Amino acid sequence: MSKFDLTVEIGGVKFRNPIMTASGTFGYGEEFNEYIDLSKLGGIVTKSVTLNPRPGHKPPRTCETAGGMLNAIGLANVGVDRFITEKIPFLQTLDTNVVVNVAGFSIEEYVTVIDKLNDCDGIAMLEINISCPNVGADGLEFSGSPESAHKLTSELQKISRFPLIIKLSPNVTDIASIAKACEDAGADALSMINTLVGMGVNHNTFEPLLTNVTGGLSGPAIKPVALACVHKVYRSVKIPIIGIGGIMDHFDVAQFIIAGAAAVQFGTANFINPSCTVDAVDGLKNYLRDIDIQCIKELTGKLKV
Amino acid sequence: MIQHPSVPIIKNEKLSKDLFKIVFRSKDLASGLRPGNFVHIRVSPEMDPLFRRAMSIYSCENDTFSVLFRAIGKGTGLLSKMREGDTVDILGPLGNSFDPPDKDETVILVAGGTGVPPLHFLAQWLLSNYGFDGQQILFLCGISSADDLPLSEAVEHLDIRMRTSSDDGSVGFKGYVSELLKTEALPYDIKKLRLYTCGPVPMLREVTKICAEQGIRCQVSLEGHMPCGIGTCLGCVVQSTRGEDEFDRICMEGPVFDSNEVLI
Repeated sequence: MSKFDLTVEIGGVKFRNPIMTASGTFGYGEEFNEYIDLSKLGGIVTKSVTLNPRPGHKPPRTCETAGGMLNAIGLANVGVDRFITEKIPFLQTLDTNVVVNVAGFSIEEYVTVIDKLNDCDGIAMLEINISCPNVGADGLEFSGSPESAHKLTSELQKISRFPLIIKLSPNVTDIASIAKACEDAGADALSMINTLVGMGVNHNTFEPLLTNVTGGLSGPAIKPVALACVHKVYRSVKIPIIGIGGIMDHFDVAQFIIAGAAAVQFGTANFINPSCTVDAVDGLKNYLRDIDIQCIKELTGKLKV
Repeated sequence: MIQHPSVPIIKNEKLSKDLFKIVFRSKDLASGLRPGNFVHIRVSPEMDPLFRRAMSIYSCENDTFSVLFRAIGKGTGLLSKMREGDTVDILGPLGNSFDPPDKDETVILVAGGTGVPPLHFLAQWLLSNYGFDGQQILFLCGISSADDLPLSEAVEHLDIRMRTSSDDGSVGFKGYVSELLKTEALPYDIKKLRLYTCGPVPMLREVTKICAEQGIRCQVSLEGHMPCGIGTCLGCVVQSTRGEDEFDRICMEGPVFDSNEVLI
């Protein structure tokens, strides 16, 4: 099995394999430690960290949909100071790449959080959430135009000592132009897609299914949208793309890589099967053997069109 | 190991038109489950329904355990159609468990509808593991009508004291089980009384209100929208009495809470 090369490189960081976990679906890593061997993963991405602690929205915060789920957690997190004192020590013990996801409501907030993280060891990269759909009027919509995405990316690139992944939203007119703006501003990589805005309605009570009214749709239901975004952006930029959206197994991983991704993140699947990521690492080796390819890097963008 | 990928079903019993009892065989699970814990069952390998279904435990014996549930949607519908020999992927034991009462206390268990199973398991546990006398345990079982008689029958085999209420009066006391509680709790010394409850939210509100008014120590077992069951998705939270911006995860800090810890 070892003759297959699953390693990938993103923003100068080497990953053991292209399989990571998506922000918001894997806690701070600790929660999954008793289910899987975290060192088998290419990397883990933490829940979004903001400057101040956030309690999140009132329940109900989630509901199941056909082949997916809606969530409006509201970026609940412990805030960067407690993240550094309480979560980083565990993350530093891990033999995998730790990607810290950062969210903010103004450029200054992102900058302050990154300044604090700059002093921490044990972080491989930062993923910048510029597009959480569930905090609406509060802000966090730097993904809305190429100009705002460019400005945020270039400001953060100046001060971060870690390579930056910019996480893009599908809730835009032209994701490729935003991707290009991030690349031009110096982003090291892009991850896509964040969740799609959606909602559910109870026809008996006339109430929305989520207290926040709208939420983010994730899960297998959004995979075709995510694949199309990856394919489109792959043709527009040269920096690596990390594919996200409804990935459940190694075949889904392969599909995203063929469409143009260098690596992937498993999100909602973690809620259903805590071992989905490590299962996919094994599955991916078998897949490479079956299609007679030695090196996963060779597969990126090999879509026949 | 908490993930059990292939747990066999050894019996699926249809109790009424929509109530089912399924018995699983798993020594690991059966030996680890405590009253209040739950299991998270993947009812289908397909993507719809996507999530596992959280189930409280009705009973636990040697190398088997059982759940008792109502088939109300796609997930529970699929589970209800499973047969002896089928296997399912189960996460468990999950969640916390009920705090045990003192040996000299009287225990009142107040169940509404499918809130019966975890309290049945608790009663069994108090009798077999804590040496409680059946006379110390009073089970108040609230059902909507005679259609749900199997829920109350599922408790009757225990050698404890029991009263049943029904909303329409077709079985036992006519009215809500919380009304029944008001009269049944009267004769007891409140300092020597423990109450445990599980059921629909309106019933829990009423029961916990009565407990707060009378000063009865009470624990509630809650359910919530629960995608992951292992504390990561933060979907199943309940508001805490610590403050408006304080939430507890039902799957991790619960499902059992002191009634004065949470706003139901």
